[in-house]
Amino acid sequence: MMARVFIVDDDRFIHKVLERILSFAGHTVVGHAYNGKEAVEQFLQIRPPPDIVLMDHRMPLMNGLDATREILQMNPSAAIIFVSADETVSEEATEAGAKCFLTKPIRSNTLFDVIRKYAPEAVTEAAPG
Amino acid sequence: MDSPIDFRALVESASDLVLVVSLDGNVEYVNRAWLDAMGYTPDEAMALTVDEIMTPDSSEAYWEAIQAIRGGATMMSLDVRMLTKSGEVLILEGNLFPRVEEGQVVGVQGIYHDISARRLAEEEARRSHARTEFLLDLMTHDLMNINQEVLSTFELLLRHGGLTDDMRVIVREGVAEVDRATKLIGKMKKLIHIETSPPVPKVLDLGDVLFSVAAEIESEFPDKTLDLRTELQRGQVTVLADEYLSDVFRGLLHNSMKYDPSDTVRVDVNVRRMPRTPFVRVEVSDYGPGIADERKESVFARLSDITDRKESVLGLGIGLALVRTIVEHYGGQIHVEDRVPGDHTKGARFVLLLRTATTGAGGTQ
Repeated sequence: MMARVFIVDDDRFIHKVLERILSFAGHTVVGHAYNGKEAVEQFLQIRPPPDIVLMDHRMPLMNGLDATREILQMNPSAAIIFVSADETVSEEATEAGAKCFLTKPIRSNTLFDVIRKYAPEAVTEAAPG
Repeated sequence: MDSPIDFRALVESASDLVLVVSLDGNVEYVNRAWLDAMGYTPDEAMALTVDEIMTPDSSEAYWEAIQAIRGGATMMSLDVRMLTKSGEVLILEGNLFPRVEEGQVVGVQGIYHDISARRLAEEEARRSHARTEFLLDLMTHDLMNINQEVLSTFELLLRHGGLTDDMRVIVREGVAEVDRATKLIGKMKKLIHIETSPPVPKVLDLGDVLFSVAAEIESEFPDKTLDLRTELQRGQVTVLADEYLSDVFRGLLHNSMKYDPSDTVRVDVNVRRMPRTPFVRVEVSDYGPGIADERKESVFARLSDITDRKESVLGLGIGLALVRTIVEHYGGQIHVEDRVPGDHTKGARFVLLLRTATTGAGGTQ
């Protein structure tokens, strides 16, 4: 069994490539949101909750920091991993409760390692790699 | 005794603008420079009031100044905006004093310097700077996203079983190019950040920084070994710097590893306190191909120098420009010389002066 991942990013091509990469490793993408507001709304609807949320920062309507705070208010155990090109918010992201901050562009192995680390119960077998 | 100075002639011939008004805001005197700048004749000027020659916001500030001066105060460096006869705005910086007759304050006399050109230039520079920062930020952010997409696509290809060995080599080259682009964008961001909003220097251990960077650099060149020779130890020397100090050593060691064709790349690092100065001298010497005399200065081209030189960005890279910017931001110095004087082919020696974090003179650290 592999992790159920929720992707939040305003760039549609990022969704496409991350989903391909994640699927290759056996993970399942259980939701796509294109801004922070959508992320908060969808997070509630995904049942069971995703094991991992990959969160961008700069997005319309609501940014990743605010979305992280709102999601964690609803579900303090949500594992949110920031994946952003904007390094200036890395400290704020961890202060907001994100598990870690990955600076784009990220290598797929880094992504798999982080998923293994923060969703160990979901990842019961090693991803190809 | 009469004053040897003809004050009236002095004021009349001054290049700064002189304006005297009564406490009720009527113009009582202006000098020639004021008339020239404002476009009024002397008769017209004498009929004006403060409200007619000031922009509304300056008029309000000026009336407040009049009230303060009525009590005997003086006002230095007051910014006012005056409206010329043709309606143009002059930005002036003035010093205002009370005009006293028989022990009573009867008016306000002010001497003003026209700073319109300077202010406009400052405002334009601020706007231009903000525009550049915004565009750069937008561009680098979006380029990183694009790099993510390209990198992930290449990685998917590499994970695909059907790729031939030849194709695999090509795709790996693509990955390396994405890495190169990412590093270049990162360096540009740092350069701009240091020049626009530099971090505050703090006390850092030189050995910690050097050895951490050396380990990182070695991992970037899996086919080479870095033979770092130094007597420096952790906890021995501290300097005033910030998180960018690691980029200084990264830039220098990376160049040594990149350009020295040997499998084992020797780099000597010598560190010593400079007695009676606030500096630590750091010499980083390599045994690579060196830097010819005609290139010794240009390898450190500043950001402002390289904007006209595309080859600097695409060819030489901006690594050493970043190194210089960082070192100078710390109030330090950097230059390059031949490791063996007079023979650049024996390698380069980068000499850095970094500000020591400890006070007082000392010997070799």
